[in-house]
Amino acid sequence: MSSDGASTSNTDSAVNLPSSSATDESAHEAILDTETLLNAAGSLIVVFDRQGKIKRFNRTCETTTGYIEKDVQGHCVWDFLLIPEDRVAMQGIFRQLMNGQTNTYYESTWLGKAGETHVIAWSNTVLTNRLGRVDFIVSSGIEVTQQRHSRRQLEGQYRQSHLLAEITQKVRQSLELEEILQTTVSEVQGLLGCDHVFILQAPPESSVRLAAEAITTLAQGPAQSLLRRPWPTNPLLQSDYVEHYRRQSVSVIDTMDGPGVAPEIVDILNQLAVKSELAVPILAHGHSDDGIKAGQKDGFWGLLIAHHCMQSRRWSPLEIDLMQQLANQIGVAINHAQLLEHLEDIVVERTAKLTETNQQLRREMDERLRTESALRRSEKQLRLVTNALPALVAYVDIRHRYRFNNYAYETWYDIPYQQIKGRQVSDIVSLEVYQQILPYLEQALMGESVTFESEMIQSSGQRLWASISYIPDIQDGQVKGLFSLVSDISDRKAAERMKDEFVSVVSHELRTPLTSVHGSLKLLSTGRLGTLNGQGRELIDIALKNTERLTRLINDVLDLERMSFGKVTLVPVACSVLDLLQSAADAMQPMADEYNIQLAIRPTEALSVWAAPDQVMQALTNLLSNAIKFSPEGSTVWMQARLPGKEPNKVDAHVEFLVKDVGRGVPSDKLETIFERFAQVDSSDARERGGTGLGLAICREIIQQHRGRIWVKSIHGQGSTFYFTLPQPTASPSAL
Amino acid sequence: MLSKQILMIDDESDIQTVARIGLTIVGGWQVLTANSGREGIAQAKSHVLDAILLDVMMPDMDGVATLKALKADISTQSIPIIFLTAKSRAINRKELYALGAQGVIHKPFDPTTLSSQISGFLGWD
Repeated sequence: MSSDGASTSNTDSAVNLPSSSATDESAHEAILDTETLLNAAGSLIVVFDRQGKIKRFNRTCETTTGYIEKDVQGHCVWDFLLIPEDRVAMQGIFRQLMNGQTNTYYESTWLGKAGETHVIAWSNTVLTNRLGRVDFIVSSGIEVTQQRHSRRQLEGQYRQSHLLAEITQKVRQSLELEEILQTTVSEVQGLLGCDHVFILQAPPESSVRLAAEAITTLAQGPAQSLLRRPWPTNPLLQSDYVEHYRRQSVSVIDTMDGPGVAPEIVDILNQLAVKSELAVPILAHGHSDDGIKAGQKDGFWGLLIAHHCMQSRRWSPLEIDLMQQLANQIGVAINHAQLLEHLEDIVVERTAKLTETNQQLRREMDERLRTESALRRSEKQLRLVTNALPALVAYVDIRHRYRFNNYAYETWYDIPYQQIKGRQVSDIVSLEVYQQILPYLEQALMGESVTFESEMIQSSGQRLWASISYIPDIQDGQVKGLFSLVSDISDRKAAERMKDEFVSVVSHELRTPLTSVHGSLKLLSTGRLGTLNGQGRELIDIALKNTERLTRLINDVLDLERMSFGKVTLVPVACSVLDLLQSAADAMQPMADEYNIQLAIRPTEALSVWAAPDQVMQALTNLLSNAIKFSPEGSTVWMQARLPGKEPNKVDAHVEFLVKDVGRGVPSDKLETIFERFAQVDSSDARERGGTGLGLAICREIIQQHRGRIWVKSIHGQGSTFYFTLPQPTASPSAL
Repeated sequence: MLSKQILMIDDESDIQTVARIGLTIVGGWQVLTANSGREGIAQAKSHVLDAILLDVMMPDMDGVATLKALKADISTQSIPIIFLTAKSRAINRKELYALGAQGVIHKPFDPTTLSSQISGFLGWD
C-alpha cells in the first residue's frame, strides 16, 4: 500500500491520501475494491460515505446481521440497523467523526434481520483528501454481546448477594421486624425492577394481613391505580389466594397462560393486571407451647410476593433463589421477634413470681417476728412462773446441755442462773450426783419418762434428798431433749425415816409380848401341861387363832411399809419358774390340806425369770393362800407360767404367771381396787378368813418392784384368775 | 434323840420361859437361861452345852457382840449358835450366817416346833 503513496493509519487515525483529488478518489476506489482487505479480518467492517450511508458491508457484517451488502448499500445505519435507543447517539458520534475527532470508541446495538440484537464495540478510521476533508469513515467492530450479557449477569448476582447480605445483617442486628420487612420489599422491588413487591401474613385464626409493600414509581395509568388500590378490598387478601400457596415451596408464574397456573389464581391476578408473579412462602417455627404469638403448626407464616404488571417477564433462577433466601431470612427475623416477645413474656412472668416471692418472704418474716415476739412473751411468763418455784425446772437437750433453767438453780448451785444455759449438766452438778443421775438422763433421752429419788449435794456441801422427774421432749417421733423437775424432799424423807423407825420399834415391841403370848398358848394347846375341859380348850383355840392373826397383820404391815419405802433391796437372780411354782405349792400344801383343796401345776415350759426368789415366793403364796381360802372344798387351785401369747413379731421379755381358782370370784367393780390396802371384797373376810387385807397390796408392791404387772380376771361366782408378769433374764435390768 | 443341854440367852424373861418350857416338854431337853450376853458367856464357860439360842437384839451387849466373844474364846468357840431374831431387823440372815451362826430362827417362834427346828439346823436326828 505504501507503494501507491496512500497512507493509512491504525485505529482512530487519519490516513493521508494523495493530493490530486480525482486521482486520489480513483486510487481509494482501488483500495476499496479489495475484497481481500475487507474480509481479511474476522471483525465487522463498515465503510460510510460523508452522508453516513453505507458504502461497504463486509462478510462478517453479513453473517452477523443476516443482511447482504446490496441490501444495505446507500442506507444509513440509524435508519434500520441500530436499535431505536442508539440511533440519536450514533448520529452524534458520526458528526464528531466527520469533524475529524477519531478517538471515539463506542458500543452500539444492532438489530439483526431476524430482530435479534448484537452489541458491537467499534473503532474508526477516517480517510481524508489532501485538503484534510473526510471522504470516508471506516468502522471496524467486534461483537461483544456475550461478554456484555455475562457482565450484566455478574452485576446482577453481585447486587443480589449484596442485598441478601444487607438483609441478613439487618435481621441479625435489628429486632424491628416491621423495619426488616419494609427494607426487604423495597430493596427487592428496586433490584428486580418489579412493579409490586409485598409480604402477606397469614395468621392461623384472623384474616390475612399486609405486612409490607413496595410499589414502583414508574407505573402509570390504570396499572398505577390498580396497584394503589386500597388493601381492604384487594383480592390478594382473600384467604383463597394465600391458602393456595400454603402447600407450595415456591410459585413461579412467567405468564398467565403458562402451564400449571391455577385458574383461580389467574382470575385474581387478572383483576390486578398482573402479568408475572413470583411467590415464596415464609416459614417461621414459633414457640406455640409457650403461649406466645406463634406461627402455625406447619410453620407457614406468610408470603413474599413479586408482581410484574407492565409486561410479562421470565423469572431467572437467580431471582427465584434470591427470593427464597430472603424469605428464609425473614423467617429467621420472625423467629427472633417471637423469641424476643417470648423472652419479654418470661421476664414479665419471672418478675411477677419474684414480686410474689418477695411478698411471701415479707409475710413470713412478719409472721416470724410476731411468733418470736409471742414466744419471748411466753418465755418471759414461763420464766416468771418457774422462777417463783422452789423446785429446779430445766430443759436439757440431747447433748446434756441446759437450754432453760429457772432461778432455783442459783440458790442450789450458787451460780447466777442466767449463766447455766448452754452448759453441760456435768459442769453444774457434782461428779457423784452426775454418776447417779446419768442412767436416768439417758433413759429419758431414749424416750421414757422417769422419776427417781436421789441424794443431791448443793454447792454449800449440804446434802438433801430430791425427787427427780425427767420427761422426754418428743417431737415427730424424735427425742429432742427432756424437761427436768427436781424438788427437795428432804423433809418428807426425814418424816419417812421417823415413821420407819417408829414402825420398826412398834413392831418389835408388839412382837415380843406377842411371841410370849402365842408361845404360851401354843404350849398349853398341846395338852402336855395338863388337860382342860371342852370350854377351856375352846378358849385356848380362840386366843391362839387371834394371836396368829395379829402376828400376820404385824408382819404384813411391816413388810408393806418396808417395801413401799425402798427399805427392801431386791436381789434378783435367774430363777427357774417351775422351781418357784413347786416351792410355793409345797409351802402352801399344809393349808391346802387343811381346806381340802387340790394344788396343781399346769404344764409349764422350762422358763426363767430375773427375780428375787423370796419376794416372788411371798407373792405366790399370798395368791395361793387367797385362792385356797375362797375355793369351795374339794376343788382345785391351778398355777401356771407361760410366755404371753402376743401378736407375731412382738418379743415380750416377760413371763406370765397365773393362779386360778373356782371360788366365788371378784365383782367387776372391785377388779382394780382389790389390790389396794385393806380392800377386801367383803368386810367380814378379815374376820372370817383370817386375812389382813394387805396380801394383794404386798403382791402388787413386789411385782411392781420387779417392773412387772399384776391384774385379775374374774367372773363373779365362777372363780378368779390372778396374773402377774416377771422379766426374763435376757431383758433383765441391772438392778431392780 | 438324846437329851440335849441348851443355853437360851434373851433379855425377855417371858420368852425365855416359853422357849424353855417348849424345849423341855416337846424336846425333852435341859434348858439353861441367861438374861444378857455377859451372863450367857459366863454360863457357857461353866457348862457343857450342845447349843446356844441367842437373841440378836439385846441392850448393852447385843447378840452379834456376844457371838463374837463366844467364838473368840477357845472354851466356847465350838458351841453351835443359833440366832433368834425379829424379821424386821435390818441385819439379814446371810450376815448372821457369815458371822458363824449355825441357824437363824425368826420371832415369833412356835415353841412346839422349836426343838425340831434346832435339830434340823444342827443335824440332830
